Amino acid sequence: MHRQEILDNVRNIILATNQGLFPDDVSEFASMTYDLGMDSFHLESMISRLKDEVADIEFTPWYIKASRRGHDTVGSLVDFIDERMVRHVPAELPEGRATHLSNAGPAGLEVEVA
Amino acid sequence: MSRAAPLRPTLLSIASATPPLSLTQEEMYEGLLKHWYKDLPNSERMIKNTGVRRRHFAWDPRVELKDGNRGISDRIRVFERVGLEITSESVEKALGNLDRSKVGAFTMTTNSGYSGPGLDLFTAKKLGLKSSIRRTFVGHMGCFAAFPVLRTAMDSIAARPDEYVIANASEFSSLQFRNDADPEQAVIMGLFGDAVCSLVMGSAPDGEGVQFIRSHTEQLYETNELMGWHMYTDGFKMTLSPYVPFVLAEHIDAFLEKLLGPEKLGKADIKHWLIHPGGPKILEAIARQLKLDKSAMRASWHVLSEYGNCGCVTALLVLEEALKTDKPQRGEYGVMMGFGPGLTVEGMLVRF
Repeated sequence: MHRQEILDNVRNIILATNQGLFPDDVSEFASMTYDLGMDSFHLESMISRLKDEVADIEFTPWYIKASRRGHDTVGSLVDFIDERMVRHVPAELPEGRATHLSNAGPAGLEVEVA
Repeated sequence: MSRAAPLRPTLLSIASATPPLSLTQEEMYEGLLKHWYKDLPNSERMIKNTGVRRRHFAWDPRVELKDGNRGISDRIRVFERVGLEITSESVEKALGNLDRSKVGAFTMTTNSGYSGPGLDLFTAKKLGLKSSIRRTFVGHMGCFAAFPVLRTAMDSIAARPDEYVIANASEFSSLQFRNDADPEQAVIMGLFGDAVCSLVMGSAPDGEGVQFIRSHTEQLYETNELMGWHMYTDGFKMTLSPYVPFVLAEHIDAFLEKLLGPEKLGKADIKHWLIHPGGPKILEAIARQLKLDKSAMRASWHVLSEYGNCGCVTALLVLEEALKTDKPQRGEYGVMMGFGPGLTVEGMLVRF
């Protein structure tokens, strides 16, 4: 999967989890907490969705980086997933686990209402 | 000749105490937080989403902090005065009719303030405990600090099985409340409350009573920036990344293997999940990871709602609530868990 596809998917997930945002708000350089105003409820919806799609990736290294003020940018998350997906290509998929991001748009997502 | 069953650290009693002032979340919001966060969008929603319905307070933050932050000395003077009242009330309730002359050690923790001599000495003096009592103070470790206290008590009992040990956690978080208007602090000010809980522990043959079987602790060294508890001239200040629940969830399975594996137990053997309700997202993230429904953590949700996050006391309040309401059956297992700066993850396997 190309980086652009990952970016499109992450942006769709963010827009679906925080419906007060406009597509143009969600730039690569936007901090999720400081620029987009995502709180723990929005973050949980986003992470939960990502985890469903890339269950084999451990996100802790990104959480550590993201916790520094303003560092949780959309682009940093995309880069992280991109890098991990390149590094982590299992020979055989565990049952029930996906290792690639789907192209589901916001309409197809279940959004937790905070 | 039959061999006697080995002795285990055993809970003899548990009792909590709270300051008399109790406010609903609405009273706290209308009386103070609304003014602090008047320029902060969504602050009311953030505070409501903490899942806290009511909290107790060692002082009235609506009055004491209405003009802004107070100096650390003002805060500590109240800690010394009110702290002694509530801590000694809890310890006295826990001692009940137990033989006080058998109490050989007293371990306590708090994150709310410091003084020397400490609340442990004044409590021991007030309650007439013997002058040779061995005191250990565990300070400033964070919300998981009841676990080092329990471990110290377990060690003490292992060394002197004929004695009793008091294990106490006292938290007066409101004495360190502060008015910084940012989302992180708004969540913290909406979450934390004040309470004290004390246990008396002794030893009993394996299988007799509520017993602490084993503990495990992990420091996630690389995550040390995600949570902090720092001192300033105008009080202590907590920092808390919104990503903490997700980090904890990612590590919980490996942690439980280390806690339960040596006893040849697994998650399916655990009936009671006594998880520190640091916030609703922590409980939800862990429940999702462990595939638990909400009822499996009923006591944790109850404590979050009725007391808030009471720092180092909270895990003990959850244990007390589970014993009182869930009434675990003899032989059932429970896992207590606590989290805090480090990040540190603490766990205790309990057999009821």
